[in-house]
This record gives sequence, structure tokens and C-alpha cells, in this order.
Amino acid sequence: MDNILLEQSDNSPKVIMDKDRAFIEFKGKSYPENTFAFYRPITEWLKHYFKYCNDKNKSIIMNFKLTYFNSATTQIIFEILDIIEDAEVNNMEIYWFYDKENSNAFEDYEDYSEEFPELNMKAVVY
Amino acid sequence: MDRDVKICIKIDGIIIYEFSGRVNEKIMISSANNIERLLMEKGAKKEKVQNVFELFIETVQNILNYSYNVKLNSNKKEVFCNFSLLYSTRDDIYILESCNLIEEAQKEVIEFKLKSLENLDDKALRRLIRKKSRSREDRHDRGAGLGYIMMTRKSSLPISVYFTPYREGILKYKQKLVI
Repeated sequence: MDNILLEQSDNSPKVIMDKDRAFIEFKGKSYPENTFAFYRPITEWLKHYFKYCNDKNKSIIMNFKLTYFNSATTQIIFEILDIIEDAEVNNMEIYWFYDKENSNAFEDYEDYSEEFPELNMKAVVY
Repeated sequence: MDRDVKICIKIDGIIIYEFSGRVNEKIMISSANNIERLLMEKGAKKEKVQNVFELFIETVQNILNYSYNVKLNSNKKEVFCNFSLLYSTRDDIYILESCNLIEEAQKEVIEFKLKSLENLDDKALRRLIRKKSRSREDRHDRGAGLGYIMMTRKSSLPISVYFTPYREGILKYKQKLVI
């Protein structure tokens, strides 16, 4: 399985999915014209990664550093968190980065963390 | 309607940003970035900027996905529509108005969606987004089916919509969001 590295564009985030470093990050704006098609390889990668490549002795870091995202991306984030929950991963640290001057971003964190309490997501101001 | 496209931003009746041309993904991105830049330069609060930006994107993506007169140009969707963004300094509100053509059958769908959101407060809307996001019950190729819920949540007044006949089977759809 190859790593995924997508550069940031005006409407899609930078995506890092590095299995060797156990590091996953989404950074930037996310409103691709076809959001589900954009994220399909990413959700497939995650399913495969948790099934076959997860080194349980290593912490996996996942960072969400999204500034704006459309409603389809909102649903994709739920799907990503569903995949993690279904995989029953115990060696994962999930960080939600938000701008402290923007209360919307913290509300998004609240929604995700309340919906997935067992994932113990952490909010980080940046 | 088939030829005229206008995107403009007015402050207390004065246009500060204007665009004319076909709306497609590229134009949506540049317009959204221009709106963001203008509002930041004006010193608007970040929440406000984010809400305007996101509702602009939701509106344009709805238009690109659901207008009857969508054309494909190099596999990219293009559509004719009108936009305006107005700001009232007195009330600190932005008004995002749009107009596009839809098939008549869409009217019932839109009205049903908006009716189901009436009287829901912010907490109820957030719960609904969570429920629908996890169940994916309204998901389809073009979107998550969450657009109107997000727009309702981030608007400060209920969404106003108007339908007027354009020609047989086709309606002009006007939408007004107060942010």
C-alpha cells in the first residue's frame, strides 16, 4: 500500500497519509466539486491501513486542520471517524485544530467528539 | 436568465465587488476567495466570514448540482445564474441572494426540506446534521443532502425562497439568506 500525499489546492486540502510514520493530516479548505470522489481513495486507504498495516506498538497521529469545509466534507469526516471506530483502534491520537477567534470551529469539534466519545479527540488551538 | 450572470457585493447599497460571466467551479473558487478577502479587509469577525464563505459555497454547489440548465465544458459543470451579496452596516448582516433555473419537480423537494427544518433551533439542527451524516440517508452522487440544514443553521433568519414560472416545466428559483 502506497502513502498518499496530495498537495493543497484552492478547494481541496493537503492530505498526508503516511503509513511508515503513522501520520495522517488534512489541512486547508475542503469543498471539491465532487467531494465523495475526492475522498473515496482516502477512506479506502484508511480501511486497508487499519486492517493490514496498523502497528499497534506505534501511535497513529491524525490531524484535522481544516479552515472551511462544505456539507459533503462534514459527512466525510463522520465517515472517517466511523471507520476508525469500527476498526477498534486503540493506538490513535486525533487532534482537531481550531482558531480560537472562530467559535464555529470549536462547535464542529464538539459535534464530532460528542458523537465519537470513545475516540477521545482533542482540540488544539492554533 | 440564459445569458446574464452577475455577482455583486454591495455595502449599504454601494457595490464593492462585481462579477459577470458563467458560474463554474473555477469562478466559484475565485469569487469565494474574493468575498473572503473583502470581508477580512473590512474587519469582519471570523465567524461571520466563515459563515458567508460557507453559505456562498453551499449555494453555488447547489446551483451547479441542481439547476436544469447545467452544461458540461471539458467535463466541468457550468450554469447561468445571478448572485448578489449585500451588507448592512446598521444591522451587521449579510444578505446572499441567488437566482437560477430549476425543473418544476424540484419545487416540492425544496419546500419539503425547508418545512422539515422549521422551528428547529441550533441544537436540533446540529443533532440532525450528526444523525444524517452518520446514517448517510440522503447521500447521493452530487452531495450529502445536508446543504439546506447547513444553510438554515448558519443563517440568522429562516431561508426565503421564491418560485416564479419561467417556461413550461421550468421555474426561476430565488433564494435569500440572511447571515
